[in-house]
Amino acid sequence: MGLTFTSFEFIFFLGVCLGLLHASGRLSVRTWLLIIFSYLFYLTFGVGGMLVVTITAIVDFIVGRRLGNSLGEGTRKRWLWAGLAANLGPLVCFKYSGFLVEIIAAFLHPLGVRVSLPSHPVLTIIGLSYFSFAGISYVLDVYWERIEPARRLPEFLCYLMYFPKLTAGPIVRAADFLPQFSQGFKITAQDFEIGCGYLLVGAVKKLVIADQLASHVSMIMAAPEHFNAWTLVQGMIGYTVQIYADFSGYTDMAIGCARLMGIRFPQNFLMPYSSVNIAEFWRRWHVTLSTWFRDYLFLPLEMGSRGIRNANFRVARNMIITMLLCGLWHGASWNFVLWGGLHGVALAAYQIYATGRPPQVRRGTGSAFHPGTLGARALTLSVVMVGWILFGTQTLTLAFKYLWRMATWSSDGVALESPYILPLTALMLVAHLIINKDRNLIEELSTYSPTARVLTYASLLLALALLVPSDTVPFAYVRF
Amino acid sequence: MISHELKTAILGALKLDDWELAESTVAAEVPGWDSLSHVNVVLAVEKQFGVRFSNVEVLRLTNVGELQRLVNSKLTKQK
Repeated sequence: MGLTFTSFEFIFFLGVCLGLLHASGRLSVRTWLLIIFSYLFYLTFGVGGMLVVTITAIVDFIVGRRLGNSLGEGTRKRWLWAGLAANLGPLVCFKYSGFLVEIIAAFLHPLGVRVSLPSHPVLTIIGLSYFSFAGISYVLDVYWERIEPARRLPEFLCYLMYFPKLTAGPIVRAADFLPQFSQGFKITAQDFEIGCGYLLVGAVKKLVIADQLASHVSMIMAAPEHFNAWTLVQGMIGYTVQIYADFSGYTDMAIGCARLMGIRFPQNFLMPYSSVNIAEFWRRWHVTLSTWFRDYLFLPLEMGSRGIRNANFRVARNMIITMLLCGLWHGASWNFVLWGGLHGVALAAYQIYATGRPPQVRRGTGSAFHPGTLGARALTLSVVMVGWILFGTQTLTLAFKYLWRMATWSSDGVALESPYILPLTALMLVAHLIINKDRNLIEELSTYSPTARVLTYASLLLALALLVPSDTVPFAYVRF
Repeated sequence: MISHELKTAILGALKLDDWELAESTVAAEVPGWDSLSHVNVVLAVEKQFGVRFSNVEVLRLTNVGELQRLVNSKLTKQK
């Protein structure tokens, strides 16, 4: 199903794309090349989705142009709503319609009305959530006059359809992406090295770490009633490492692809498991999504409710609403809603705790090995790991069963011994403990001595050659 | 130029004794000015100058200079 970043077919596809891009001098030719390659990439996931996203992109472009003209506030609002509807409509139709019908059916059931549920979605559109959120941010930024509307449709299509970010982000803002077009995708030898570095590190995270863990972890997550508590704890920490390695690995590869074309993407993961509080975790985990929710949902909610005098109540309410919708963004299921709710409550509780305390408490500065810092990290990570059980299991029943068996330290059931979970978890935890969380080692590496660089790249290649499991699994976040 | 009154209102809301605020200063550069404290800053500025901003006016702001210009335009309209 579709081209994946870790396949040989994708390496060939990327190589041809880069070759043609660098052979063509004119910006307009490069823009069309990127559009064509993005469509070819998306075609491998199916034709239906391509039509939907193309129509949405054209509507967004028109809405942006109309908002850019000086219109009356009433007309501007109507165009804004048209733009929001164009982006949210496909999401509701193709991603949430089944879930909505399920809720309606549950409400009507006690009244004796039976609603037949569709067995499968009408059309699965890969990357629709990322695409729609990029479109919404564009429409709102133009409406709020933070950016100028895109001048040419090809440029705008390229922004929304750009294949390295199309299926699983990062959610790049137009303000960050479009100006790079006018600069003409300049690429230096250092960009090339850094781009390759991101691709290598991303591939190692995905294939060597995430995929090694996948088989055991998915077995535990799928049937927690069959395993004893210690195995379930291993499953939980294994999934914690797997989901990070999988998604940050994908993002590293997306950043690397873009960098090879002279385009810089924002960072999406900043050592999230080293966070000392849950607010810091959300400043470091899936950064482009959390800042999206902050700027386009939480802050408007805060502004709209600033008449509420009890600040703690106001912030808690808005935080929980935001995180419930953030959970729902990940998928049409109660597991994701509850996962979002858990994080919303944790964020609200933290906010009440942090109110009136010095800023460094919020920002999480201080010695990494201070007992207080270590305790704060452990507490934050515990909340995150409990959340991952809701996130990684298929149903709420399974999630509660999983949590209950761990909480009661159930000794019946199979003890599954995985040779990978504990060593890879230790590796990830040590990395998060000793590496300064504000450093970017992939970018820094290009400034090191040639020997250090060659040794590092050779080690990564060796890991890819020797440690990749025979059965790889799709990137987890593509399904969102 | 950021006025003394605006600076006092912002720093007061953030419980900061002193911090350099220029026209180009963005919230992320000021300690404690994050999405959680943003509304407190807005409320403090509204109270200091006796003005009321619409939600869209606040959401449009990208730096302290724009906030100063918004305050100035509100005060001019009041006269």
